[in-house]
Amino acid sequence: MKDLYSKLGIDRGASAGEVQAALEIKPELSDCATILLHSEKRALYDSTHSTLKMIGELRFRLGLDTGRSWFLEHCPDYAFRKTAAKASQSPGKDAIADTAARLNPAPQQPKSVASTPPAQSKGLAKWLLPAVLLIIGVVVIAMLLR
Amino acid sequence: MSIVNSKLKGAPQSQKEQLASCVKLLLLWVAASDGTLDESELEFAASHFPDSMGTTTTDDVLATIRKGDSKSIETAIRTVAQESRELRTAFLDLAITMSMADRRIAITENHILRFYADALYLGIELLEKRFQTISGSAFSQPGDPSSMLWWDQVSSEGLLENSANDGQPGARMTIEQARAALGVGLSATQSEIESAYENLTAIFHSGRVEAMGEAAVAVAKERFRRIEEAVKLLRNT
Repeated sequence: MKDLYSKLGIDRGASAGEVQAALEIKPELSDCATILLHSEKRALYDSTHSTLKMIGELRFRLGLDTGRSWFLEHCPDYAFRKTAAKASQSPGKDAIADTAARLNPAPQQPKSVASTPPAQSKGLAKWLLPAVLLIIGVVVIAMLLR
Repeated sequence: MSIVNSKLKGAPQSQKEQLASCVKLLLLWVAASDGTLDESELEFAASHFPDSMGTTTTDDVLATIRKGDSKSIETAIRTVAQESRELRTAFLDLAITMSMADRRIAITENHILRFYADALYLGIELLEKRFQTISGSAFSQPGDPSSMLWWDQVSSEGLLENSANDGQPGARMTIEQARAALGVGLSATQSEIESAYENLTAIFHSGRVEAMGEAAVAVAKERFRRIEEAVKLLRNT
């Protein structure tokens, strides 16, 4: 699913005349214009467009913008991260590289399950340093007492 | 199941009410997402979803959806995501049956079901399995109405032909509709019909969903009624 409005550089509510005008600037996009100029096709396109916009936002906010249900060939135009990056111009390449790195189609796991092992190892690491220091301290004291 | 029930009975009433209006919002989003909440769907919503439930009325919900207010949807899905796996699966089953209300799953409904499966930590594999059981057909890829290629394919297969008569309330069920309601194919034997009946009545038993409130119970009851009607028809043929 492509974002035809952004491809043509027009607004969601654009009139047939505006679609025609955009087509004159970008004649190679005649397929897009054909869909938007046909009322039945446009109605179906529009409802899919607004639903995907909402899902894109929701998936971004819930951290669910990866996985095989979303990065199908249909959805990249509706990835909120990408549009947000484009709009602000600042994270640019990084955000896109980050998105690409997360294209991993691994199935969604419950967050709590996924985050438990690192949390446990962190807890261990926290105790490891004081324990080592304590042992060294005891050894040094023992050697001094000799 | 009993654990879920007892947990909810002990919970403050407002929490239960909140879950109920969240479920209602999410189920209505499935029905309303194709933009044209058509008359039979509106009628369904009006007659099946009691109008004063907590603070959320059906009109509020529809306004939320039309505005594209993703914040309320986010709150709702986060609320349901905190429930037990059993309850989340039961919710997904209701969403699937809601998407089948007009028998053909719309593109928007397809995307929303995928989103619910991910957001509720159930995953696409489970969605595919549940969809197969409930509808009797495989969960497809969503269509792509931004591509002329897809439109050509659709018109050559006649996929968009209107099936307006399907959902008419009061109209008598055809054999084809009965098979769809039971999720069985044309070649299904009597024993396959009976086992589908047994599976689906267990899935849409109102006791399984009552913790999710009146809207959930209404959707389950409607499907249950169709299953009963379908099996009566198919047993006699």
